[in-house]
Amino acid sequence: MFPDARQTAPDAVRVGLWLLRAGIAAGLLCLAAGGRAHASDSFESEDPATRLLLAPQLDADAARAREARDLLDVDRNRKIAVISSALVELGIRATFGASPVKLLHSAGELGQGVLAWSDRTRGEEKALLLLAPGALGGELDEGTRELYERLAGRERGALVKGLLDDGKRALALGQTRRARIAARRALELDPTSERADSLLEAIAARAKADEAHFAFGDLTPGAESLTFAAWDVRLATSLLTDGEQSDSPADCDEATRGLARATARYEAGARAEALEELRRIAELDGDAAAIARHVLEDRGVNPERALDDEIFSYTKRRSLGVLGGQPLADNGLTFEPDNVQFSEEGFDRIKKSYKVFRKTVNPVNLMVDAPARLLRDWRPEGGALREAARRYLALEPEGARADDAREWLMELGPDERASATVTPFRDGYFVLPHARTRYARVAPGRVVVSLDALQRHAPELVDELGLTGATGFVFGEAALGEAAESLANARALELLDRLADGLEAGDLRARGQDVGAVLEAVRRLDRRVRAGATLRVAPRLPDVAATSLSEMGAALVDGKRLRTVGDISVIRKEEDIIAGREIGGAGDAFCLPETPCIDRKLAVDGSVFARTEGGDSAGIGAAAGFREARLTVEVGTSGPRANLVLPVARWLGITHLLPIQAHVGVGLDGISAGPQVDDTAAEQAEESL
Amino acid sequence: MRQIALVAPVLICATGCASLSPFGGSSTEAIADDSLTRVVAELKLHLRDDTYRYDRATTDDGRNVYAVALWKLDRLAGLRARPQENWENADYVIEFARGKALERLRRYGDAVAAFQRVGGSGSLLGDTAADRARLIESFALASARPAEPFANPEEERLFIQARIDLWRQLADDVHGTRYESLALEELEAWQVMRVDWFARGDRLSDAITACQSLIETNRESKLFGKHLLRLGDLYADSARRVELQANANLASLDPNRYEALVDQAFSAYELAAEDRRPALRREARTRIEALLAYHEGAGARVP
Repeated sequence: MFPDARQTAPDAVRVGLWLLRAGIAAGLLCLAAGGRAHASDSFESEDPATRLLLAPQLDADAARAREARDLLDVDRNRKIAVISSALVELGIRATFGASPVKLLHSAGELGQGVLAWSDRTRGEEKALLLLAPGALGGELDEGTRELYERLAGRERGALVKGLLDDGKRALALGQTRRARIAARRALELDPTSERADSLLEAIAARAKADEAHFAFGDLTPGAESLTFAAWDVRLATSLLTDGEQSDSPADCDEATRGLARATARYEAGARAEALEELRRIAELDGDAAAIARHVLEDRGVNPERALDDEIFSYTKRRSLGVLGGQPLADNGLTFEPDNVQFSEEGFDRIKKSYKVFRKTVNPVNLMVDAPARLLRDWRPEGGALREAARRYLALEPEGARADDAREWLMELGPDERASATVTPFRDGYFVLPHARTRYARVAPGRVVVSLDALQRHAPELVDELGLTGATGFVFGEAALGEAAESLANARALELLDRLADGLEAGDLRARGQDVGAVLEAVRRLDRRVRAGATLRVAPRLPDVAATSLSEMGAALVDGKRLRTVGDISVIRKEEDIIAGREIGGAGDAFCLPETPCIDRKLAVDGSVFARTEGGDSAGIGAAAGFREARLTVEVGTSGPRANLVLPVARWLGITHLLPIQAHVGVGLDGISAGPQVDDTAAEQAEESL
Repeated sequence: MRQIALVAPVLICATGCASLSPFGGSSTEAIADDSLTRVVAELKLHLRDDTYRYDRATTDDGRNVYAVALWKLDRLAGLRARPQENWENADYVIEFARGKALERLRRYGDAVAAFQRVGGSGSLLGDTAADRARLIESFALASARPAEPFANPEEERLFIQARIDLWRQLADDVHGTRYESLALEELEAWQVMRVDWFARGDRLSDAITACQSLIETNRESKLFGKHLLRLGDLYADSARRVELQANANLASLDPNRYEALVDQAFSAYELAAEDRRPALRREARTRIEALLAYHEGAGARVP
């Protein structure tokens, strides 16, 4: 009853935007590539020293200076190219909404390019080599000489730094001679180097220490067995013998004595007093007080700590859940600094969380789901908080947070886990309840048939069995209620035959399930009746039209189907919301969920509908179908549009080879026509394989 | 970009408070382990934990507190490095505490040895250690491995049944003491072994009965959810067996029976999915999905 012709106008706009973005991206890439190409064009691969020796035409100082400047320009251009390409890449990725990881990668490349700006390059070394003969002969002009001195200074600085690093490493390894040579050489190159001076001092100190060590031999004291103070042993002993610390030694500190006392009380079952004692000790100084603080951090020992943690976690998950539902409540906390894990698994979790956050900003979520969750007072699973509150009350019924814990227990309501430990037990015996999971039933079940279908295919049976007064009837072996009547086996078999014939001939149609599944249900019933079972029938009264706010909410938020006044159905599929009404026929109100349903097939089925797709577009229109061909007329946010879909391959019976259908669309953006993949046919072909 | 611009403030609002939380940071205070009192106190705080009903306590970094305590005690003993004949009171205290840690780690044989070393010393802890050794010795005997490999499966079943009876008796003996949780854990482990024995022997119906008995007698166990998963697996295996036999024409398939088994499997998994632990809930949901996928194919083959 709903349009299956695809709207191409929004797609065209989307494709246009993408093309525009791709054009911008291509332009930026050309810019970046151009910069790189220019840099690479200017690059000289030959060694300038070789050229200097082998090419007499470069002897002239001016020529060498020019070449040195060219080399420096090439290096500068290359650095600019690296930075600009990183910048362009960052821009492209930001424009196309790439993942944050890719954005970070581009930003990292940009940062590396900027940081490497002042690094020495091979070109700089070659330029220095080219300028050196002229500088030694004093034949350089002022500008070139300044350039030479700047390059020479940079080279000297790099050499000094390398020497001092090497000297420091050598000293750490005990190689004082090598360290001293390196430091002196660095001082020769840069007499003002403070770092070289301090390294020389460190070398001297190390040399003196080595001399003393050599003179006096190994003075390391002999290994001594670990010992404990007498009070320590006595306290530990009395702890292990479960004694109360009444005669605590006076020579141990108050915190240690208190710790032992608190431990003994805790183990003796006086946990509230023990925790109170621990809190008192935690205020003191010393190692024992540190232990007490550490123990109070332990959720297994300190119920207050566990309660606080769980309250914090619950309230945070609740806020996230109202905003983005269960997925966000489950994954949103990954972004908290404490929860960030620097591992592959942590990275995957962050990626998953980010995707969930992105879904949160969907208009349907923000306009429908989030307000609905807020109104419904959405809550996350509270088992951990309930357990923490109960444990707190068990250990400290009069504690400072006892009222808080009781309030939380009231708010959380009954224990969810209790249903697992209570529901399946009857008189102490374990009896599993029926499953709530929806799965395809294989046992012969029930079939619902509309009165219209029965009157058309078995009018004499309808009269004979008195099947009137309801829009549909339920046929089955059991679970039909007290109003069910038994059918004679011959009549039951005849009826089932007629239904099967009607379905196979295409005169009847299946609702909610495909024809094959409904035929299979009819066949199983037939098998049971032939095996001796009795078929029973009960009238099926359609559900009363419901328009209550909660049911409308269930349809819009939970994706449940709702039938409202006027036989208008409301369906939520993912981010799409569709409201529609069939034209002609009895509708499908008489059908039951998860139950095969049979109705008369109309020559032309039609419907009117209103829809919105993820908040991006909306429209109202009408659709009609005839032998699988569909005509849809719609007025939407992108103007009026008509679509005609002709399942040519289906009509020719070649969908398994060529699952396509012809599509013609007329709208403000013009006329479009062409083949289109028949998704339904493709799915059916896959299933048959 | 639009999504990033929208997500960023949402993300900041939703998670920003975390850094302001007073519970965000944990204590990183360095604590010296060189005091016997402190090491023993840390161990002792968890000696009464009910490890049958609740998970074993762990340190901040997820390590078993008993294993950590034992490790610390072993290090102290190693630093003292005294031969047993030269032991002083401190060494006996360390050894006694080791015994306590070992018994909580269910290494009863090692615990008995530790208590016996202290018991024969005549130290302050001697009498207590001797009493403890006698008690734990019964645990050690009940958890001893069979002297030789089982000659046949029936011998193994009898052995398992004998262990169940023995541990049940021990659990009754230590009822109300700190050892009750240990005895119940052992009893539960052998009951699981019995279920496993039936399952290994292709006696799925008996395994289901044994598993139901396991669930009935361990309603308060921390492993209750796992037992439900086990029961769901047995029902699912039974349904698969029914379908396979029909597929091989070994027996005609009764759709009602097949569906009843599948239904019970789903039900057991659903109950397990209500467990408080997220990992177990995930496991249960995964099994529901797996069974749905299997049933989708199997349902088509039902006559």
